[in-house]
Amino acid sequence: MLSLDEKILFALNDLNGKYQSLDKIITWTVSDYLIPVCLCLALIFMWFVGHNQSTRYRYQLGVFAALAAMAISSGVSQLISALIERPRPFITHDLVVLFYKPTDFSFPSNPVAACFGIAAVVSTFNKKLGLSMFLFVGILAFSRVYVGVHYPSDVIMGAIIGILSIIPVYLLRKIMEPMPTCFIKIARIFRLA
Amino acid sequence: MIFVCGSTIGSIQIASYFGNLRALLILRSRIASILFGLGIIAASISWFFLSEDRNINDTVGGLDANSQAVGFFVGALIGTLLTLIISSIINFDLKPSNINKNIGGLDLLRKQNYFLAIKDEYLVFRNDWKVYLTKQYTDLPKNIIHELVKGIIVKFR
Repeated sequence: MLSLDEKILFALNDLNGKYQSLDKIITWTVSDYLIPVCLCLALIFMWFVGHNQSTRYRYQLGVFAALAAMAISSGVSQLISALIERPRPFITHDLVVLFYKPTDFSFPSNPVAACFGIAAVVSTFNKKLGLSMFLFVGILAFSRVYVGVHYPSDVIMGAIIGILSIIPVYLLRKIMEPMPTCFIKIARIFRLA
Repeated sequence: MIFVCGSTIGSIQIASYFGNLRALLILRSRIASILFGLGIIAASISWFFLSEDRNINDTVGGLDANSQAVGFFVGALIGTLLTLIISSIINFDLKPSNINKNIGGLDLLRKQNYFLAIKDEYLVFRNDWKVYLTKQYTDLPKNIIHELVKGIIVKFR
């Protein structure tokens, strides 16, 4: 008897090889470089884009908050991964794998958690940018199931961890604020903030 | 790193277009700048993925997460420096006769090129560095670690 998790995984994995162009696109979107780097570029964009000093300062604090959320969600997902030790789907099932075969555990998806952490924080500062980030991270999550390196539940849990990482960032913001403020102040002297 | 460097230049161009930071634009026309920004990002991504197979595990020659982070940081830094240098050369004539002394930070780059902005700041610093430093740091928390510890104690009391 297959679980819903496995049914979705098999349904998506069955598409591998049927549409060459889709496979080609997915091998780009699943990459460790494309979507994570695009999110970081969006943070650089956010750093410079404010129309006045107060908006820019708020966005720049947002950049630090997003980096903190990324670090927290990545740390939490690695901790859970070490505790649960769920093997990758291509180890327990006969799947077509379009990506390299990662050697770490499957649950939860670390890149999805980290990217969702960034998108969740950014969406609290700028809704449009945050929503477009969520779209990109959704594509990453789909791609990782499609190529057979994660179960759907891995990426869902990764997304939950990423979104929940807002909570510690929000709770710690008052305590941590002097550090980014100091950095922004120094960057302002060099005309970079 | 070349991918990140090129993409950083592109994203700064797009941000400068929206933030109206004229001195950071590499092309004089604002519309051309945003197209250039999008183009250089697209070109960097295409070059990166089409030049060779990038989906390689870190156990067989790919980059691990730490190396990726360092690579991104260095690439972004080089991209930012290149933008500052190139835009300062291109916008060399962007020097207003009178500048409001209250304008600071990136806002100054709407009217003045980057090199001149830094040069002016340095001259103010050289004139009277004690006054300059006092002015810059009076509103900063005196001791960040003290502030952090105090914040944590207040939070959990």
